[in-house]
Amino acid sequence: MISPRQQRVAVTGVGSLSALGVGGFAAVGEALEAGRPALAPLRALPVDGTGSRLAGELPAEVLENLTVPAEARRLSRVCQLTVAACRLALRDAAWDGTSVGPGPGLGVIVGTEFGDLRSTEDFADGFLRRGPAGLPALIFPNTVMNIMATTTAIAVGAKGPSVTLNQPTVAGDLAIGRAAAMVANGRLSAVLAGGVDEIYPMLYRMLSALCVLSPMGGGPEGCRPFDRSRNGTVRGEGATFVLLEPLDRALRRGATIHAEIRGAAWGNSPAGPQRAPRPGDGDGAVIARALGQARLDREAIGWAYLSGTGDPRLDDWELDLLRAAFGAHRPRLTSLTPMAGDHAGLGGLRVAGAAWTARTQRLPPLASLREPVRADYAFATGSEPWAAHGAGLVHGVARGGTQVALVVAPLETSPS
Amino acid sequence: MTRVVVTGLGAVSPYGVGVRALWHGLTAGECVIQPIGLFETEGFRSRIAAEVPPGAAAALSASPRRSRADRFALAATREAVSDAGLSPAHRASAGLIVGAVGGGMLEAEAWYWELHRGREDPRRRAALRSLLPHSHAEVVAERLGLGGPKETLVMACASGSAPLALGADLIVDGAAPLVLAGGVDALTRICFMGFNALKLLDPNPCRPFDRERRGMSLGEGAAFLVLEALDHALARDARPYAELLSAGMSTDAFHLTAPQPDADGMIRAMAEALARGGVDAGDVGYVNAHGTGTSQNDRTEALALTKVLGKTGLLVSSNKSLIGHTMAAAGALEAVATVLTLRDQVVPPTAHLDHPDPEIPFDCVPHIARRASVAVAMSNSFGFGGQNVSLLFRRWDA
Repeated sequence: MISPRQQRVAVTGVGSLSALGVGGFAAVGEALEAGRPALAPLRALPVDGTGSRLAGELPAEVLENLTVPAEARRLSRVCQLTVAACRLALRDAAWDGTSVGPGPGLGVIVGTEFGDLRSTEDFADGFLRRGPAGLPALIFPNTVMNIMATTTAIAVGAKGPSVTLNQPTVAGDLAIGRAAAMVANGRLSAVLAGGVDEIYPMLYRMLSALCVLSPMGGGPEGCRPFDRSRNGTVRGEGATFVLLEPLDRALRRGATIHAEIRGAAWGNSPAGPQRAPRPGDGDGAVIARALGQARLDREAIGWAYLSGTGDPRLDDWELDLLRAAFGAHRPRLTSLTPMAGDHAGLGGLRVAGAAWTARTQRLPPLASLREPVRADYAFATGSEPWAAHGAGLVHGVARGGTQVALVVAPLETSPS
Repeated sequence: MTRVVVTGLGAVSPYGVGVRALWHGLTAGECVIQPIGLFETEGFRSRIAAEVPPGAAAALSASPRRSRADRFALAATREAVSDAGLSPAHRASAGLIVGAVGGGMLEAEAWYWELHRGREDPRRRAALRSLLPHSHAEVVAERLGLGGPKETLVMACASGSAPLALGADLIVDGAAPLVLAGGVDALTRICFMGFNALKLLDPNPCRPFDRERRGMSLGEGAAFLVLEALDHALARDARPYAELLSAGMSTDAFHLTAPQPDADGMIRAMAEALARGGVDAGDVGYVNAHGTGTSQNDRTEALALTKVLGKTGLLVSSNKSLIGHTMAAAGALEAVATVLTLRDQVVPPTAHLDHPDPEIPFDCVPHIARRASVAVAMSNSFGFGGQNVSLLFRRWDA
C-alpha cells in the first residue's frame, strides 16, 4: 500500500511485447487507439485434439532486434521477453546508469503465472531420455520461477531487491502494486515491474484439458467478458513492464511523467485453489483502501481497466466488488483481455493502458461486448475509444480469491 | 514507526511436526540427513537428504489428496496461528505471504514420469491443479480463513525469509495488522537432480564452515511466523517471542548460480538491515548463517560478515548442517530457530565441523549447542541469481 505520508510514485517508462504490438508508451497507445483484438488461431503449435484453438500469440520474429546475440543463445524465450520489455521501459523513460542515484538501487518485480515451465519440461526430458547423464545442468536454474527476475537484474544491472510473485490472472497487477509500495516506503530507489508469461505446447494442451479456457461448457470459442455469451478466457502471452520512480526524483531528472500511481491495495477472499469466490464474498474494502491512499472519493474515478477474463464466475465476482465499492457511481469499464489474451503481462498492459488513458483521456472500448450480463454498469461498448476524465482504477481478480486495485491518475490532478 | 513482533511459530521439519521437535533436534545437534526414500536415486553422486519422517508426514491432518508441500504448509500455519492465539476475527484481517519454489512438483513429476513411459494414469492429472507455488497460499488462506493481503514469493533459496521482510513492510505500511509469513518446500526430483547435475551436493551430510566441505545437502519442510504490530499484539494480550527489527534485501546482478566474489550484494543486504534497525554492528551477538556447505557460499558469506560485523569472535552457526537446505522453507525455519535462540539464549550447533576453515574467522559452534547471552541476532538467506535477504531480530524482554 502507499501511505499519504510516503513518497509519491510516478510511471515514467513502459515496455511491452504482446499480441497487440511491441514498443514503449507510444506503441501501447497506438494499439489501444486502434482497438483491434489480436486473438487468432494458434500458429506456432498444433492444437489437434484440444478443445481450444485461439490465443493472443506473439509473432515468431518478435525478439528480433530486441536481444543481443549472447542473450539469445543463453536465455530461454520467456527470459528474453522479460529482458526485452524491461529494456524498452528503460529506453522509454530515458533512463541511464546515473538515473538511479543513491539508495537501495533499481529493483525488478516480476509477476508470472507459469514462469519458465518450458525449461522445466526440457530439464525433466533430459533425464527421462538419458538418465543422470542427460541432465542439462545449465538450465536447472530456469526451473525456479525467479529466473526471469534474476536474468533481467543481470542484464540491466539492477542491484536493488528483485522479487517474483506467482499468481494467476493478476500477477502483473500485483507485481506493480507491490513495487509501488516498495518505492513509496523507500525499499527501492526505482523499479521495473510487470508481468510475463508465454504459451508453449504442453502448457496450452494442459490448460485446455483442465477446461479452464473458452469454450467452457460449449458455444463458440472467444473471450467475451461481461457478455451473456461468455464461456471462458483465451490465453495470451508476452511481457509488459513499467518503470516506477519516486515522483520528485523523476521530476528532478526531467523524466516524462506518464501517470502517477496513487493507491495500491490487494486483498483476498479465500476460495481455495482454482476456485472463484462465491457471490457475495468480499466487499469494497480493497478498492476503498486504494482510494483512501489516493485521497480520492469514489466519484473521482471516471474509468476502470478490469481483469474481465470471460470466466463467468470471476467476471460476476468482479462486478459485485465494483458495486460494493462504488455504489450508484458508475465509472466507464473496459477490459484488455479480449484484445491480447489472459497472461501475467496483461497486468502490466492494464497499467500501461491506464497511464495512456490518464494522459490522453481516451479509453479503449470493450468491443467484444454485445449483450451485457448486467444492465446497470457503464461498459465501454462499441468500437471507438471513449472519452475518459480524471483518475482511473486498474482492477483485477483471480481464482483463489486474490483482488488487486491500483489508482492511476494524471499528474495534474495530484495533490501538492 | 510501527514495531513488529513475532507472536506465533509453526514448523514441519525433518525432525517431524511442530516447533518443539525442531528446536529439540537443533539444540541436540542431531543430524537427520539420510538416504532418500521418497524417490529413486540410482546413478546420482549424492543420494541423501533430510526428509520429513514418513510417520510424521502420514500423520498430517490434511487430506492425503493434497500435495505433500500443501500439507506441510497447512500443518505449520495451523500451529503458528494456534500458538499466537488468533481468533477467527483476527484471522479475517491477517495477511499471508508464502515463500515457495517447488509447489506441487513432486506429485506432478509422478504424473509426468508415467506419461513419458506411456503409462499415464488420468487420475494423476489432478496433481496439475496444485502444481504451481501459489497453490499453498490458496489452500492455507481458505482453510484458516485468512482474508488480508495474500502473496506467493519465489526467490529461490531466499524464498523463506523474504516473506518476513515484505510481511513486516505490510504491517508498517498499515496494510494489515498481522501477517502469517514463511516458506514451504517438499523434496522434488527436479531439485535433487538439478543440484546433483551442478555438482553442488556433498555425497555425505554437508559440513558448513569445514575446510573439507564438499557441498550442500537437501532437505524439506515448512515454517511460518505470525508477525504483528506491537500495539495490536499487546492489545490482545499476546506474548511476543521477539521483535523483528528490520530486513535488508539486495540483488547481486552478477551470476545465476555463483555468489559475487567480493560479497557486495550480501554486504548491502546486511548493512541495510543494520541501518533500518538502527543497530550497531557490535550489538549483533549471533548470526544464523545461510551456511550451505558449498565452498563458494561459506567463503563469501564469511567475507561479508567480516566486512559488516567485523568481529572474529562472533557466534555463527548453520542449521543446514543438521536438517539440510530445505529450499523455500530454509529462511523461515532458520528464522524460527533464531527467534528461539533469543528466547532461550541457546545457540544451536554446526554439525560435522571437525576442521574449521581458517578463512572463516568466527566461532561456528561445532557439534554442541552453546548457552550465550544474545540480545540481537541476524538470519541470512541467499538464493540463486544473487537474491540476498538479511533479517535482524531482537530479544523480547517482557
